[in-house]
Amino acid sequence: MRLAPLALVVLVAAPVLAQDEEKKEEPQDKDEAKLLRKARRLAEDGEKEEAFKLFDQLASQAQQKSHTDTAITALEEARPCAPTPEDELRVCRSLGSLCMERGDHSRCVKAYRRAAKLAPEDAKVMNSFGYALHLVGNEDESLEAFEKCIALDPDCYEASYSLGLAYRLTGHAKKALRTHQKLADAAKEGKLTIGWYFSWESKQMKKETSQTGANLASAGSRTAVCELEVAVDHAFNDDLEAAEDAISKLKEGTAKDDLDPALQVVLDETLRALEIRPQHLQLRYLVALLWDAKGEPEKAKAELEKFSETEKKIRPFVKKAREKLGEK
Amino acid sequence: MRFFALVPLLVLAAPVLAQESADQEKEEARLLRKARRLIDDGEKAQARDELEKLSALAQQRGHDKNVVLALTEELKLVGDNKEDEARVLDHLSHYELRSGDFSSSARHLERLAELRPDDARLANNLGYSLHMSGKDEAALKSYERCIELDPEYSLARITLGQVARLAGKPQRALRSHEKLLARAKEGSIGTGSWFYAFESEKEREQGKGSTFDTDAKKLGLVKLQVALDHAFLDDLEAAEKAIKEAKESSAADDLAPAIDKARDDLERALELRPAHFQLHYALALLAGAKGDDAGKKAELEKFVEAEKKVHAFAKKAKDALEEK
Repeated sequence: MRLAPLALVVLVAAPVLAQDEEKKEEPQDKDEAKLLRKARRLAEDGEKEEAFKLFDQLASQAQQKSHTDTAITALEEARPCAPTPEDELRVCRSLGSLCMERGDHSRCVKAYRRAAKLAPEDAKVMNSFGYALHLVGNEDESLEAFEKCIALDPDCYEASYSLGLAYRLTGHAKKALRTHQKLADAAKEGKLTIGWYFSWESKQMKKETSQTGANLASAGSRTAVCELEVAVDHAFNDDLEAAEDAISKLKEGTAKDDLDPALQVVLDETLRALEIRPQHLQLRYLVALLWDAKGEPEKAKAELEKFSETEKKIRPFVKKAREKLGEK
Repeated sequence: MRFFALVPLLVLAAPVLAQESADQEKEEARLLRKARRLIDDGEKAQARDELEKLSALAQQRGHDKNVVLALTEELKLVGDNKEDEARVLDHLSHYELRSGDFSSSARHLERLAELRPDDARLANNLGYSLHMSGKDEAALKSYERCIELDPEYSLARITLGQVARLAGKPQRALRSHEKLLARAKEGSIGTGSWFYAFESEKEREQGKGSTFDTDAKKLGLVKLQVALDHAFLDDLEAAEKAIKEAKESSAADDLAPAIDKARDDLERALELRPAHFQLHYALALLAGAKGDDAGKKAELEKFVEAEKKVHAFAKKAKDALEEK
């Protein structure tokens, strides 16, 4: 259960997480070092099954002590010794999850790539693989993995959410809209039963709030976030009117306790998008709508001013373009 | 006549070549198996000899995948010998870069940069690998380190600017490209030939990429990169001036690859961010500079059309602000 919400958090956070520094090496205690040496000797002597057991034991011990580096080493060395494909799959999944936690995205991709090969029909593996690929910037393959995941399990809503975001970030705003619309329908039917947690990614949100993210524990908040994603997709499709309508309807028909955390999530996401693409003028208007819906008129005003200011700067060039085109 | 003679020759040669290639693969697989057996038996020195043999053979034959396999195995055997580790990592990261395995090359170059912290070339390669792995913040740091080590490393300066622009830091991109432009105007901006592969689908249909093999072409490239930075800063006037100046001061042949490259940059940015409509104006300017009137008209139309949609909301925003 942990992976599903986690995958969401990381995908939303991808542009920033991908840039995070990796954590420092952790200590390895004497028992662990001894066990590792023993397992390696067994592996070198061809006693693979015995070696696998020891590597596996070491990985569990190290994980209990939060010695992630040691656990990763043990699992990496356990993999070629795995006696059955099921054992290898289990090792790859643990390895992928630990590497993700550690921020070592390239090793994470390798682990999940192998897991996906061993279990091509496992939707959860595909979801994690897609997300890992996204983290290393391999967007095309990431989209493929999410699509496969949803084909295997149409109820894997976390993957649908991530897929929609990945579509949007790679310039496929129409596909993002279709994906989020379907998800919003599923949410309205009460199909999104697991709580979702999102970590802040934008500098502004990190600075302004004391929490580290938003918890969408209620079904109402999850429905709201999916519908807000549809509004954001409209804005990315340059349909600001549809975005405005969607936000306005949500504001009228959603309880404040459900709408507020969902608005925070979508605001954070849009503010982050603006940090990366400050010239995406239309997003300023969207942010103004979102702040307004949240009951922050001053912030909405500031965004509208920026929007108007930039549009004013562009207007003379539109005039010039029209002249060049021979229009009046 | 020569063409007709060549065709049957190729047809005859094809099965022979395929057989030769299969034999080579088998030979390399045998070497790898032997090395792995030696590793299992604890004969590390001999295993390394076999792996080096395999790596040299695969390099010669252009079998990059096997070079990477051999070097990856060899890396595990280098132990505490830092010199050896650095040498293997240098080769390995090079072949990973060639194979497009950027996340692995980034990981190996990060370690290599620890071992050889004063090597500008490695810092440049690390920056590129990180950029291609989606880690733009880290890539920027690496490019900065490269320039600190070698202020004359023009290629790193250009790429630093490009990465900064895509990471939402066009001001930083402009600073980097302007510094380079100032240097370029004073003299040469780097030796050798630069090649940029096209990244946008549209430009890839037209060709593989742009080559900059003379100072005049490189100067054109930098001038147009400065123009793009202005466009990304919404300073369309400065972008227009920069493109006009580049056109007036360069021979058409010298500016042509820079225009293709700049168009590719913009097309790629628009593929990822189609709503950034201001870029259509910059694309129209570039099409105009190349004498592509139809292209210029099409881009201007897209610009006007997109702005029309936004304008209605600008009016609404103005009304709302007046009310407030």
